This record gives sequence, C-alpha cells and structure tokens, in this order.
Amino acid sequence: MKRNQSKITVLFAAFCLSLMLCSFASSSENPAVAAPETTEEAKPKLTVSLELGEVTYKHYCTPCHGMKGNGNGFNAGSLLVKPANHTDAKFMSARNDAKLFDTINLGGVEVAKSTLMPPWGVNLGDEKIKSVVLYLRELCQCKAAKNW
Amino acid sequence: MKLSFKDTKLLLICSAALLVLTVLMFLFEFETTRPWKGIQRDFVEIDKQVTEEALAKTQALPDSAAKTEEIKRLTKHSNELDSYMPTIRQTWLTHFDTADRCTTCHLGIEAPQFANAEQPFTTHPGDHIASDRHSIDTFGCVICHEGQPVGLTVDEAHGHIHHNWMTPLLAGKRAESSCEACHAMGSDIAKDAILPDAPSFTAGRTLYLETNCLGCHVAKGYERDAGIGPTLTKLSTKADPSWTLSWIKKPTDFLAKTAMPDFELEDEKITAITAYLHSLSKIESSSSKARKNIGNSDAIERGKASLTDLGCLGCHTEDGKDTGFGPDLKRVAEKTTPEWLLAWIEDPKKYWPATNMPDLRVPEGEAQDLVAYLSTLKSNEVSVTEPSMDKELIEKGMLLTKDTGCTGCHSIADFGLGYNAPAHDGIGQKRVDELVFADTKIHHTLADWLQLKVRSPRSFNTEDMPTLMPNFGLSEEEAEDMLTFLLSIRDRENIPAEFVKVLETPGTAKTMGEILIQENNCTGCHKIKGEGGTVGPDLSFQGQRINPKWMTDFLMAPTKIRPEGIEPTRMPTFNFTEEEASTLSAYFADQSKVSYPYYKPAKKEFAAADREKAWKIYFQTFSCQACHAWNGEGGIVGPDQSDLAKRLRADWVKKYLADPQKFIADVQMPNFEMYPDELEILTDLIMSFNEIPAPVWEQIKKRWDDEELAKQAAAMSAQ
Ligand code: HEC
Ligand code: HEM
Repeated sequence: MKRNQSKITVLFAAFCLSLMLCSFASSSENPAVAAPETTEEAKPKLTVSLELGEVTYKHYCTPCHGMKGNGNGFNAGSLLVKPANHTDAKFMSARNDAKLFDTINLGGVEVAKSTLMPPWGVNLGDEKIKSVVLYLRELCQCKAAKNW
Repeated sequence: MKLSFKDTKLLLICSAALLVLTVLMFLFEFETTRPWKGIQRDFVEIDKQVTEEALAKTQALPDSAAKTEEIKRLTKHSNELDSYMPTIRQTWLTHFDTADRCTTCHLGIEAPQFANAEQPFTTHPGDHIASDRHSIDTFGCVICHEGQPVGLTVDEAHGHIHHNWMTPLLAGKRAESSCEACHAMGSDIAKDAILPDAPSFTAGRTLYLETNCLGCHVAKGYERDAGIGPTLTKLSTKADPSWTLSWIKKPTDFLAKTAMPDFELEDEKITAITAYLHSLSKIESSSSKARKNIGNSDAIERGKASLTDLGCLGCHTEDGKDTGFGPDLKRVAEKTTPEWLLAWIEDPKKYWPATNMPDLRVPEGEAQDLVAYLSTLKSNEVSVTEPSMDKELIEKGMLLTKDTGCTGCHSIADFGLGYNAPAHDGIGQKRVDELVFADTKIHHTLADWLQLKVRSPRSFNTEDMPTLMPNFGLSEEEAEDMLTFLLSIRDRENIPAEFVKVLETPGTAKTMGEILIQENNCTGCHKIKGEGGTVGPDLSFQGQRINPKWMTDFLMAPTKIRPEGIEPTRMPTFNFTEEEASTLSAYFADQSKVSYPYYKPAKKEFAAADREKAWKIYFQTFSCQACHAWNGEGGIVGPDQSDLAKRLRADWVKKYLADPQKFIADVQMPNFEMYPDELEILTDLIMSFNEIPAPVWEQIKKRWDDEELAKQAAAMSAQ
C-alpha cells in the first residue's frame, strides 16, 4: 500500500511496534501507557460495502471521472489525458480487482498509466479502496474477463 | 393636702430609684436577649463538633511531626472554645471609612471547614474572599453585599428595618451587582464581554444591551446604539399594510424569536400607526426582472439549492422555529414582494445600511432563482392593498408612532433615533417611596418592583400614570439576571481609585476579534475553535495556515478561493474596515499562537539541479497541475496556486503536503507520501510561484506537457 521505499519503513515500524507491544504486555502493571500506541487499531474498522464505495467515489473521484463515472467530471477538461470511463464494460473487464486496487492505491504510475491519476492509498485506506472497487464493478456492470 | 419637704424628698428618691431600677432591668433584659450572643454560642457548639471530627481524622493518620503539630493546634482550639466569651466582632475598613460587624454572626465565612454548615455559619462560596483579591479584611462584607454593617440584629444588619432603607442586603446572585463598582463594564466594553465570577450580572448586561433597552432609556456609562430594527421610512416598498397590522399586533405570531416587543396596543391605534408608516413611501411597481422566474419549477429547484450552497442557512432557518441569527424564512413571502427580495439580495445595505446581512455577491440569474424559491414560502395568499390615504388617520398615526417609542429601534422619516423614557441612572438605589406599586400585591421593595416591571411592564399602570413600556417576554431567569444588572446601576462614590480595575480590557486582538466574530455570526458557516457550521471551511487552524496580510485584504474584499465544483459557497462581503479586518487576522494568528505579522523565512539558495527536480515532482511525479490551476489555467479541484505564496505560511505548507488529512479529514487532496527532501524543495518551489513571470511559467509547463503527450503517444503505438 506504500511506495517502495516506504514499504520498508512500514515493515520496520511494524517491527518496532510489535516489539513495543511485547514489552508492554510483559510489564502489564502499566496498561494505560500502551493504549495510545494502539490508536490505529482502536479506530473502528470500516466494513467493505457498496454504499461506502459509492460515497467515497462521489467525494474523491467524481471531479475527474464525473458523477456518472463516464470520465466527464468538471475537472476532466483541464487534463491532458482523459480520465478513464468507468462505465465502459470492455475497458473495465480488462482489469481485475487487484489491478484496480493498485491503481487507486498508488496512482496511475503504478500501472504504467498517467500520473494525472493520483494515488489515494493514504487518504482512503484498504477498506474504502475495496469498497470503491465494488462500486466500480457496479458502474461498469462487469466482471474481470479473467483472473490473471 | 400640702406635702412637706420631707415627703417630697422621699418621693423623689423613690421615683429616682424606680427609674434606675427600670433602666437597669431594661438593660439587663436587652443584654440577655441580644441575638448575636445566642448565635455565637450555637456556633461554638458546631465548631466543637467540627474540631472533634478533625481531631479524630488526624489521629488516624500515620505518625509524623506534622500530625503532632496538628493535634496540638486542634486541642488548643478546642480548649479555647470551652472558655469562649461572646464578643462583637468589628472590622474597620480603613479604605472605605466604615465599620463592618457582619462576622459577629457569620463566623464561619472564611473557614472552609464550615462549607456544609447552615446560614449564618456557612463558608463563603467560591474563592472570592479566600483569595487576596477580595480579602475580607479590606472589603468586609458590606462593600459587596450592602446592608447596615453596624446592625446587630438580623433585620438591622440586613437593612430590613425600614422599607426605605437605601442599601438593603444584596444576597446571592444580587451581590454581583456590586462588582461593576470597581470593574467598570460600560459601553466601551463588548456586548458579550464576560465579567469573571459574575454570571448573573454578565447575562443581565448582555440582555440589557441586546434587548436594546438603551433605545428608549439612557444610563450613565452606556451609549445608545444604532437602531436595531430596520428603517421604516420605505416600508411600503417591502410589506403590505395588512401584514404590518398583524405584525404590530403580535410580532411573535410571525417570527417566534423576534427582538420586536409586544406593545399591547389597541386595534385603532395600530390602524393609525400602520396608515402613517405606509404613507411615507409608495408600493413599488411590478418589475419583470424580479418576477422573471416566478412559478418556474426548475428555477424554484435551483433557488432552493442556492439557499444551501450560498450558505444562507448558516444564519437563517427555514422551519419556522426562528432560532437563527437572521429571521426565519418559512413565511417570508407573506411579508414581502419579489421586487423587494431581489433588491435586498443584490444589496442588503442599500435598503438598510445598518443591517448585519452581508453582500453575497449573487449574480442576477441566481438571485432570480432565489426570488422564485423564496416567493413560494408562504402559507396563504398575500393581499396587495393600497395604504389608506385618510389625512386625519395618518396625522393621528404620526403622533402615536412618536409617543409609542417606535423610534427607540427604528429610524422613521425625520424623527431622530431614540426615545425619552425615564433615565436608568441610579435605578439600583431608587427609594421605595418613589415607586408606584398601584394595586399589586408584591413586597414593597425595589427588587420586587423591578422584577415585576421587567417581566410585566404594565403591572403598575394607574389611571393617571399609564406606562408605555412594551413587553419583551423575558423568562423568570432572564428577569432575575436583568434585575442583577439594573441593581448595579447605582452611585458608589466611596470607591478608592486604587481598587478600580477594568477586567475586560477593551481593544486587545482577542476580545475585539471575538466581538467581530459574534456580531457577524462567522460561526453560522465556519467552525472556530471546533464549534460552528460546516458551510465554509473550518477556521480553527487558519491562523497557522494563512498569511495575516493576505487575510486582511481577503476579508475586506473576498474572492473565490476554492473552485465552484468542490465548494459552491462564496464568502460574502461584510464590508469590514481595514481596522476590523486586521483585528480578525491578528485574532486568528493569536488563536494559533503564530507570529503576527508573518515573516517569510529567509530565502534558501537551491542548486539548479534541485530546482529542476522540484519542477519534475510538481508536473510529473505528482502532477499537481491535475487539480491546481495557475493564473486560471489548469485543474479546478484545488485552489489556484499563482498567488499561493502570498496566501500561505511556508511552514504550514510543508506540514500540509506531508499530511493534508491532518487538517481536513476528508480532503480531496492526496497524501503523496513525500520524502523529506522532496517536501523541502517542493515547498520552496511553490512558495516562489508569485515571483515567476507568466511567460516563464508557460514555457516550463509546456515542456512537461509535451513530455506527457510524448509518453501517451509512445504508449498508444506500443499497443
Ligand atoms: C485528478 C483527476 C483524477 C481523480 C481525482 C481520479 N482520477 Fe482516476 N484517472 C484519472 C486519469 C487522468 C486517468 C487516466 C490515466 C491514463 O489513462 O493514463 C484515470 C484512470 C483511472 C482508472 C483506470 C486506470 C487504468 O488501468 O487505465 C481507474 C480505475 C481510476 N482512474 C479510478 C479512480 C478512482 C477510484 C478515483 C477516486 C478514488 C479516481 N480515479 C480519481 C484522473 C483522476
Ligand atoms: C504535489 C502536488 C500538489 C501540491 C504541491 C499541492 C499543494 C496544495 C496546497 C499548498 C494546498 C493548500 C492551498 C491553499 O490553501 O491555498 C492545496 C489544497 C488542495 N489541494 Fe493540492 N497540491 C497538489 C496536488 C493536488 C492534487 C493532485 C489534488 C486533487 C486530486 C489536489 C487537491 C487539493 C484540494 C481539493 C485542496 C483544497 C483543500 C481545502 O479545502 O483547503 N492537490 N494543495
């Protein structure tokens, strides 16, 4: 979910965090201190759903991809590359869910497409992206042609 | 019978002895019944109990030197109590040249251990006298609570001996009316300023000013405001006489929370006043411009959306509850015409220069849509009637308008603003025999009189003394606060200058900023300090974000920052003066604890290679131009960046680029997870945008655009 170099950072951070958690677990007489460290997990986990996907899409994607998802957002006119038409079943079925996830997560550049398609991984998080993928399938009324 | 000299002498001696005996007996009688002695003996009992409890508690503690010390002290105190002889306690208040004997009975007033004791022994609430600020040795009780400080019976001490006693006791909240003597809170201090520790006084003062009592009355230290009601000289261009009639009759029937009071006028008087007011102007002729979209359902739909998008609902309500800053709009079309609405929306200050409604800079078409929608907001058909032309009625109405006090709030024709109701100077020390109680059954005290007067002003009306004061519909609690305030308006000449200390300093950026925010209802649309509307952006962190110089200019003449597609709302023009605008920008800087003014960090010299790298990041790696325009050319998701360097603080930009969501949770700007060196050179680049001439910018952009196009072409041919 991160750019290459930060993947390492994340791994390292996770390692540190688990070390810290272990040490807190062993010194269990002071549980209050451990609490702030786990705020990430304290956040209520979102559930992946079509509704969440629609709300997220309408807020973040429609300026470029349009309210209908056909690539005609109010900002599309100012882009050198036309935003993808998410209602185009042929175009969309040529991309499997994992690829769509990567595109949204890390931006066009991740799938050898234009950088005019921004990366949304940090803003959205995994659950929202997965939900958006559900909504994209709803928009195109299509499935991935094959699961490569 | 003739009395001998001897007889006379005997008689004299006897009667003298009798006299001495009577006097002695009388004195003895008085001595034994002096109530304060009994009170002091009761107190000794309570004190003993309290001391014993404290002793038991101390003994349970682990041994220490402090414990031994405390036990010694308590035992000594207990012994002293056993041999206590009642004595009058008197403090001489040197600064005020008066004695104060209140602590003769209020024995526990300074000692925290009596907090749960009953009156007169209970501890003083709060930390007023515990702290040095209001030490009882300096101020005694009488300086704040009044009464008769040398009295030694309850009634005497509390000034209840005679109903005309000038300074009866001010108990509870009412003592707050004395704070003002040292801590002046006159007109030069904000309407909603707070006098610390005096909540009732503060609320009463705010109410007094907001209800516009000063429209009709005068009071020393307070100045008359501009009229709080709209001008009535042009009434016919706005409302129909039938509406005016029903409005004057009962304003709250039309607007639940209006500031207009009920004058309880007879119908014939209302008719005359209405005739006069409408004789001052003529109905406006129907205009096709205002009525262009009336009845057009698409326009009505658009107008309804505009009401939200423009932020009108930041101040107005639409549900009839009338809880907003501006009037409720549910029945606005019953009151006024499309012609008036259009003119008002286009420039509210033209009709009423003192209005708080800002100019929303609505283009004509959108204004017409709004008028179309607003014109549907009515529950019954509006009649359009020519105002009466009856000369006599109009003449009568004119006299009544003047006498009723309409000019206390409204400017009307050539009448000056204001009304000469009795002055409030010294109202907090009015003698009871100066008051008319008519046949009311209330206690004959000033406080009771004032309380009834503010809640139900006509209660004391008599045949030859009718009063015209209207009813403001105050609640019981509001009346109590108003009373506290009114009691504060009394002359206190014996306050030594050294104690006079204005607490609410007028003129600091913080208080002045808060006044402006309140007066203009900024929180109707924006969050400030975490509270307020969501129509406009959250202003809680704007101080760290915005260069105050830019903010001052913006507030004086706002422009659109965020593109229409992301934020349809426009910041309205409030016509702030430069002074007001800079007060606000200083306020926001102060709130965020950042420098005011803003000093740009010293320019760092970047190597040409770094600059080149920064451009690549801007146009290619992250493609900022996808969402941001420069001089109107480019993306329309985020704000235009050509004047960004004048608008933003560099340190904020860096923090924002690193994590935009930290400031706006659902921001539509991606977090690009930049590396520190990228952040550094990119911030530097965009903070220098205002120094780049347009042709240079275009040249650079073209280079990167060409590269993008070439990439696309290559991808196409590869397919
Ligand atoms: C700044 C405008 C912009 C925004 C906002 C935007 N996109 Fe895109 N998107 C583009 C452009 C431009 C392309 C085309 C890229 C290309 O063809 O090289 C694109 C392409 C795509 C593609 C197709 C990629 C491919 O495999 O060809 C997907 C899927 C996509 N966007 C999803 C999204 C989603 C989901 C969001 C919202 C979270 C979103 N986009 C927000 C501009 C945008
Ligand atoms: C690295 C490239 C980018 C840079 C350097 C950049 C910089 C900035 C800055 C400095 C601001 C604050 C603007 C201000 O208050 O005047 C901002 C706001 C904003 N940006 Fe970007 N931006 C970039 C890319 C993008 C992209 C690609 C998008 C859209 C997908 C975007 C959308 C926005 C939006 C919506 C705001 C407004 C947030 C608000 O309401 O305050 N930005 N950007």
